[in-house]
Amino acid sequence: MALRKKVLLKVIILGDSGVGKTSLMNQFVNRKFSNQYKATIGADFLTKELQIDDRLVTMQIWDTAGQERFQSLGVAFYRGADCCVLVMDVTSPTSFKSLESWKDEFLIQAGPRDPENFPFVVLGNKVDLENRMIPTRKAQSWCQEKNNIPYYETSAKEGVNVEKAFETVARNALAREKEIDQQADFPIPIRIPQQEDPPKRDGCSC
Amino acid sequence: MNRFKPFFNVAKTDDTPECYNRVRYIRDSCKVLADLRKSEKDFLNKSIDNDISKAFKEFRVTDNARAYYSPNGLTGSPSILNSTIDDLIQIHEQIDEERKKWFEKFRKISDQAKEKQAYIRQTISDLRDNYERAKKNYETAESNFKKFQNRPDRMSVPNYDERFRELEDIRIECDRNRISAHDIYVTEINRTSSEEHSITRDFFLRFLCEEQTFYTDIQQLLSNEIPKIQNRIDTDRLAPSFQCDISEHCVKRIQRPIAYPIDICIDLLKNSVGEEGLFRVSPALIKQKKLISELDLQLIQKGSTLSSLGYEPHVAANALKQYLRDLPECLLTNELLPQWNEISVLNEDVRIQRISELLVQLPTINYENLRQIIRFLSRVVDESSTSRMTASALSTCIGYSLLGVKDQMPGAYKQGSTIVELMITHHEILFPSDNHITYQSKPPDVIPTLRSSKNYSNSVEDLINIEPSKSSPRNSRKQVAPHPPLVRQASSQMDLTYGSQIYKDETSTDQPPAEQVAGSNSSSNLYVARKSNNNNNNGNVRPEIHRPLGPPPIPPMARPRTVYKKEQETSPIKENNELSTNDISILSPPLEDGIPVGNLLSDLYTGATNSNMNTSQINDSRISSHQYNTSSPATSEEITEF
Repeated sequence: MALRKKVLLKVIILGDSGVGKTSLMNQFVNRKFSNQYKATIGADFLTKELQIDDRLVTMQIWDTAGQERFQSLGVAFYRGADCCVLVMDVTSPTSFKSLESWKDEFLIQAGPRDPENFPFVVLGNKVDLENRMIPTRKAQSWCQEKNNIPYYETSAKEGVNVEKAFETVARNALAREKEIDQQADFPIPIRIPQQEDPPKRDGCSC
Repeated sequence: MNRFKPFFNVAKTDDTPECYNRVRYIRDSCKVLADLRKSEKDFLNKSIDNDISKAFKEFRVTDNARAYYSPNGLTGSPSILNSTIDDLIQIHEQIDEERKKWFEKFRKISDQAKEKQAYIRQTISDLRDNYERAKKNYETAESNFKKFQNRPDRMSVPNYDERFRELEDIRIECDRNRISAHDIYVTEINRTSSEEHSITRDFFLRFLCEEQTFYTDIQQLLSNEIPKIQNRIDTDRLAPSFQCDISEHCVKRIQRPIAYPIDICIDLLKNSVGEEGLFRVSPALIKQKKLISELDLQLIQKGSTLSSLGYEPHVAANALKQYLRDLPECLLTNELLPQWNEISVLNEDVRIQRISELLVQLPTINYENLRQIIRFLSRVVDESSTSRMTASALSTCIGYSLLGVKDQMPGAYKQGSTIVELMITHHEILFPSDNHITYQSKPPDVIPTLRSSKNYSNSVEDLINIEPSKSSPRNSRKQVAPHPPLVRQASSQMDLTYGSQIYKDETSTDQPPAEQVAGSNSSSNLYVARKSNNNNNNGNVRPEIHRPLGPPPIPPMARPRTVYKKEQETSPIKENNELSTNDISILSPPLEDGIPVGNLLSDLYTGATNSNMNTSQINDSRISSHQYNTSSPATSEEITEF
């Protein structure tokens, strides 16, 4: 079993600006939380290796900027994603409402095969705060409606549930990987046309 | 014998000249021309213009159209569409009027053509009958003669020779008649044929010429009217401001230095600078769209509050960002984009100076709006303990909105934020407080003024056309543009050429810095004593009255301000000379002052923070100066002189 090849999973984190996408990623990868309040520019990624059952998985986690001006950059980053993490801030009803459009946006831009069953995970972040506005029930029912998306309540600040959430992300992505592997649909190899009769060089060949 | 070819359609006599063909053609063409009028209901009297104006008139009297007013809160004032439809009706009525005149002229031509046709028909047929008769006579005479000649009993006929001669004479006579009738006939035909030219000229060419006059008149009418409508659209104060060129919006339309959405958003946010994540957190998209639609229609009056409108601060902040992003050209101008982008490569210590050089090159409108924004952002940063938006965080969020071109790659976003961060941090130097007072010589806020104008007259004309004779605040607003102190604004229309002439202008407007400083000092008074109008006036009158007399003596004032003014005066010149010498003089005063640069700079900072106290109240002081201007007869007189 150990002979299995190493797996690279591309995970995209999406959500409104300021919901804690960067913090979640940092908490998961570096186990650090910074109180700095800084908007992400464009997109960035970190990798982390993870043992899922008998497999060693490398997660490549893409953190995107929630700022509206960067949203059009999506296409480049979304492509080839294996799982998408939708983040909202439980203290901000707006960020919860936006989940829907982030999800749709992702599916349009990334254009995955079988979009119905593409693995999403929804995280309700900032549960450590007191002024909570989105009750768990509300978020859960939304997730159930959307083809039973797993929902976790996290706190990037205190590291609550972060590990568990990303493990689910990896598992779901892997599960999908298997399905697709079974279908064994390799992309048609691109043939590089061989140059016939390489041009003869005149003079010296240096 | 070509000339006497058989003539199929008429008589198959070989003696009908070919010209007859032509004559018939000429005659019939005249008939067509005449018939155009005869069947006037079908051709010439048919007027699409009449129908069009009728259709629109009918539309205008429908209940919907009568109940329609501008949706912008100014009840009773016709909207742009409304008045343009009225124009359309009027224009088509005029065209129809022209057409009637033209029709009269054409009728003359048609009448003449008809006459001509009748004449030709009559003459030719008369002559032809004449000829036919003569021919018949001749034929009879001929046959009589022949018959008589061949009579079998001719020997028995008494005086045969005599009668024979008689008949022969008759025959010859008839022949002569016949030939002469034929000649007359042919001559007339030829003559008529030769009229071809005059008929073509007098009827057909004239017809075209009349037509040309008609259409030229119409064209003239339209080319007079269309620019008027165009201009009305261009200068319509209520034209949507989003996605519209900012100087067009400010100069042509609202005639104020600060774009409406910027002005309103900043005004709305003035008490929310401490909101956490302002400019970063996304608002509810629907609310943002609603606010934008309201801003586009200019429905929001200055002084409204977020809570009264039911918006969160993030809505207004993001609406502002979207306005900036949607500008056809970014606020820092596409033209200067390469230069802006170079800044992040420069050494840190020359960046500020380079930014200030580039700011001078910005069109005035862009500069003023930028200044307004940066000053506001600096207030958000001042509250970063609660807003959590430090200069760097804020600039990341808004940098691209100020300096960005669509389709830029991610790397380029960094530039905008670097520059904006520097601008926010050093705003006191880059955007000295009060030279905007220059603008405030303009009459007050448009919205309050319009309200008052509605009070003095409800007539439609008064709201559209402003007669110069009336001395309402609105009028003086119209008159303001050519006013010398506003050269900066005027120059913004030709801002694309940074010629030396403009620099001259700029220096000349920047010249009264002293008085602006006086203004700034007074505006600090002004802020303190904002509630009492009299003080306000006194405070503000000074710079305005002094202006025509030339630069007043520099009053004692905070030192740092002078430093800046020198810098402002020198920087344009520097553009023409080499950079190196002036590089030093920009942030440091002329050396003869003999004061260490470091001291001055620190002075500058402390002074600037002092001045910041009044600038943070920039909106308020501006409003009050507006109020002053409405009420002061002195200013309006001064303005109307020009």
